[in-house]
Amino acid sequence: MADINREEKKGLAKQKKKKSGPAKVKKVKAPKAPKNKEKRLKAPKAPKNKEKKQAARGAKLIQKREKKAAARHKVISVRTKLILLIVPVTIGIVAVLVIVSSYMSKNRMQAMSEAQLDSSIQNQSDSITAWLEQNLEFFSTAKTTIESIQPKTADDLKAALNIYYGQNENCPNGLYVAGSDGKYFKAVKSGLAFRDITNTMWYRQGLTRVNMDYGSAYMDMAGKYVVSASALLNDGSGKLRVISADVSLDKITTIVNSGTKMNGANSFLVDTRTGTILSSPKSSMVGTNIQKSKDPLMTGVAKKLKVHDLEADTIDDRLVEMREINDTDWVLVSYAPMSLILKDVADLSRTLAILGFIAIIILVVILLVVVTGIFAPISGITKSITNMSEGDFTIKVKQVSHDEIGAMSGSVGRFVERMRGMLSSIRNESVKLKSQSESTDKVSKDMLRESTSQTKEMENLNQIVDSLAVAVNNIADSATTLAQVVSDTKEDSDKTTEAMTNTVRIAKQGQQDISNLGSAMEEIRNANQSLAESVNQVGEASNQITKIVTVIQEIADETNLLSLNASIEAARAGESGRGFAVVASQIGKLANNSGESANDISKLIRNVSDLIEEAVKKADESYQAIERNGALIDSTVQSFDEIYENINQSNRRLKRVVENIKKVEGVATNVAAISEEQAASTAEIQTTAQEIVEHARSITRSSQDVAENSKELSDTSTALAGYVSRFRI
Amino acid sequence: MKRFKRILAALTTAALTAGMCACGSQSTAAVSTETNSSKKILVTLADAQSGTRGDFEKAVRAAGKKAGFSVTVQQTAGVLNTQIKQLQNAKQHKFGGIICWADDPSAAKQLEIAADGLPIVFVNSLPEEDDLASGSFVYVGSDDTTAGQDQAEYVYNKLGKPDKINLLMMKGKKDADSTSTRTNAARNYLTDKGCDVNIVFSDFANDDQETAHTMMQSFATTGQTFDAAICNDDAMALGVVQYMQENGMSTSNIPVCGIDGTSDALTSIKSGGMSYTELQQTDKVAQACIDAISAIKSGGTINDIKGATDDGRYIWIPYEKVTADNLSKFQK
Repeated sequence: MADINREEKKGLAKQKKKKSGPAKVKKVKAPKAPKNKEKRLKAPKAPKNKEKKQAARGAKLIQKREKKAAARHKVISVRTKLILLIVPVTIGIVAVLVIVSSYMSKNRMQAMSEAQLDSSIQNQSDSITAWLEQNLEFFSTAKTTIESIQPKTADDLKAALNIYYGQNENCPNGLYVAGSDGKYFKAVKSGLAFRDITNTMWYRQGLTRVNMDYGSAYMDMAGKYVVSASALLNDGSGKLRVISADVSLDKITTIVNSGTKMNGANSFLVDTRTGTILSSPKSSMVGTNIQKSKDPLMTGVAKKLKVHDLEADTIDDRLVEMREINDTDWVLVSYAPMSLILKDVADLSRTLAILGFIAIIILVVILLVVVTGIFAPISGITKSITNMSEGDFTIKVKQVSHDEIGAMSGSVGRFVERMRGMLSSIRNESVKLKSQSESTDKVSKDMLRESTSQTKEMENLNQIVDSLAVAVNNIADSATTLAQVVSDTKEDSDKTTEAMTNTVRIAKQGQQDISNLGSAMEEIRNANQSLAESVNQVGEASNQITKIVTVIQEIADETNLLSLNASIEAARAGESGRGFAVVASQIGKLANNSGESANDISKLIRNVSDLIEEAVKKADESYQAIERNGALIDSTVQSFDEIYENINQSNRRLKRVVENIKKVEGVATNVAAISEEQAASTAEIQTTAQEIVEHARSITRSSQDVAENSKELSDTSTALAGYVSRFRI
Repeated sequence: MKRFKRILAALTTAALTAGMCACGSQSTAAVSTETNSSKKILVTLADAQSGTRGDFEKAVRAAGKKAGFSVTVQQTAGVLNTQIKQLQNAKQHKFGGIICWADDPSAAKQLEIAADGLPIVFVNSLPEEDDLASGSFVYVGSDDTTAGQDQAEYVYNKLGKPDKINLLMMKGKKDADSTSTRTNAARNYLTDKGCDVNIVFSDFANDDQETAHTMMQSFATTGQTFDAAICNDDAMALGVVQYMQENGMSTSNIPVCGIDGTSDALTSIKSGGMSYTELQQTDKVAQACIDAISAIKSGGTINDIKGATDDGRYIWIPYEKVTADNLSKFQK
């Protein structure tokens, strides 16, 4: 029956298990975390390659750009630039100077030449005028004298004329007088001869004035050009008389031809009324009409004369000055070739140009020397700086000259040294940094690993605790069920008690009512039967209880195990698991209590079983007795008394059973209560365990961040090292 | 070394600057402006009795007074030395400027030197162009060339633009520039018009009526005739007219032209003697003289005065043509 009960108990337990959900696990589940961890560990590797590629691409771009810039701005040395700038400017300035001074001097020289020519022509004009004046005065004086003499006869007149013969070298033939009748009077020694007097220039013009004055030039009988001074003579004769005197133009010609006080200049005299050239260096021109001339100079002059324009001018590449001879219709024209005037200008220009050219050459040479000298160090500096730009800091630059360029050299040198020092320090630091970052990286990786595993453990723990909770819940449920069963048992036992009481009553009745033995016996038998059944039921209940208790025991065992595991895990979790360890131990204790209680219950149940067995036995015996001793009423009565006694005993024993059952009930209730508490505690544990898991997870994340940061740091330090390695120091 | 360079550079600069200044400076007979705050103006001319000179003297006094000047008129009686002395004493007498009707315009340079820095306005007696200078020695007058041309134009038109003309000419003083200018201008006008000009008489009558008259008598002996008479001034024209009228020559058919527009001339024109004269706008001339002296006295130029040439040396006040037709305008 015990076996049956145990099996039944197991079956019950199994049922309970199925009811309570997932099967409790003894093994620790495989952690989920590692996948993520692996991913995270992989991730840092990939960027490294990416970064390298990016760096390489960047460098290529920079190179390209530099090449383009270099192509756009070809490197022209400063020296060349300076020279290219200064030389054209200087040439320009010198050229401008030469041109301007040439131009100005041309103008100046032209003005000077004009002035010179003007002065020359003035001089000539004045000479001519003076000469004319002089002679005219002589003639006027002669006329006045003759008029005052008032010669009465021809001889007197001739005598008067004789006086003046030879007095004037310009008038070799002296004065002469003519009348409207064609008669004329002259000095004896005079060689003059006239024909057709009244049509002569001198006569006709003489009629037009009272005071002696010159008339137009004309060719005399001898074929020479002469000018006559003539006027009306009031000699008292009452006849119309004209006095005249010829003046040869030789003197004028001399003045005209040799009086030009300017190199290369020439003059000629023109009678503007007739256009006749009275004197000219070219004797062939004398007597010709200027207006009929083919010479461009003459034509030009003729044009000007026609419009009475006597302004200086340039005609036919000649500078031309004109001047009226006072009190005559004559114009003196002086001209000088422009080329002559400009020759000096040309010489000057040439000299200036040559000087300018020499100056430029000297300047360029000096410039080259000086600039080269100054800028010599620059190429060295340029090279150094170019090297620097490519990362070569091994160069050494010395300051040679004491100017800006020297200062530059010195500064560059100092800069290079400082940079060298700085770069080497940076390199050292970057190496340190790299190693530090590597160790940091390692540490952080370890940390990550640890925290991950911790998280895993925590999660495991969490799961264990979950399981525990489940288990505890199971216990609670079982305890509740137990209580229920016990309650049922109690009911049954109450029922049994009732039955027993009934039996007792009946037995009593039977005792009293032996007569109704048969029925009483039947009743007794039935009662015994039902008693037996009840007892069986009790036995069943007890079996169930035993099963349950077994379950509880198993639960307690397992809980103990769990608590042990928990303790272990708590220990492994270290600090964070300490609280849990306490809880775990409490659980253990509870489990032990449960176990003990279960044991007690088992014992009690066994007691109950024993008692029930005994009761059954006794019931059996009673039955046998009844069966055996049907006729043995007496013995029956005895037996009945025995039975009654037995029944009373049984009653008493049953009462004890009931009491025990009550105790069991109490215990079961305790267990239930305890289990509830456990469940509550377990819930707390769960929460705490969850928090711990969260905590552990966050630690894991932080560790991840740290790992990432340290990875970045490592990468940065690698990059830095990379950059630094580009400099040669 | 640097300091030496600097000193050298400074010296070179100084030398160059000095050189440039020396080259640039010119000695000019600049008109001093110290005495020219004076409001006293000297007017010197041969005489102020009659004729153009008389009119001018009156006009210049009036114009000077209006301009706030104190005008002193000194006469030279036609003697150059007197005029020179007057100019020499001008500065002493604190005159601010001189208006000079030069006795001998060819002596202008002498007069200028005599003025010793005072500005001179030459009037009606034309000096050489070179003797004039803008801002110090200027000329106010009327253009003789135009005068001569106007006379000839009148004659040419009056005679109906003939192809040939017998012209009698009376010339002024032999040494006066205006003489040849007027004479040639008149003659050239006619020859330029393509007219065949036959000068029947041309002599210097010295701006004197009597001389001209006497010359006419001499001319008469030549038995020539003339179609018109052009005289350099009114006095000589009157002499011609006198002769013509004495000898029954028609002054209406034979135009006689003069220049000056004297009252005698105007009277003659009115009475049919002279046909034409040119009147100098004496008032305007006088005003221009005052304006000019005022301008150059204070260091300026005459360029803003009406009639001034671009070179700032001349102010031309045009003559007014006077014939019987517009006579009333002029005869007061």
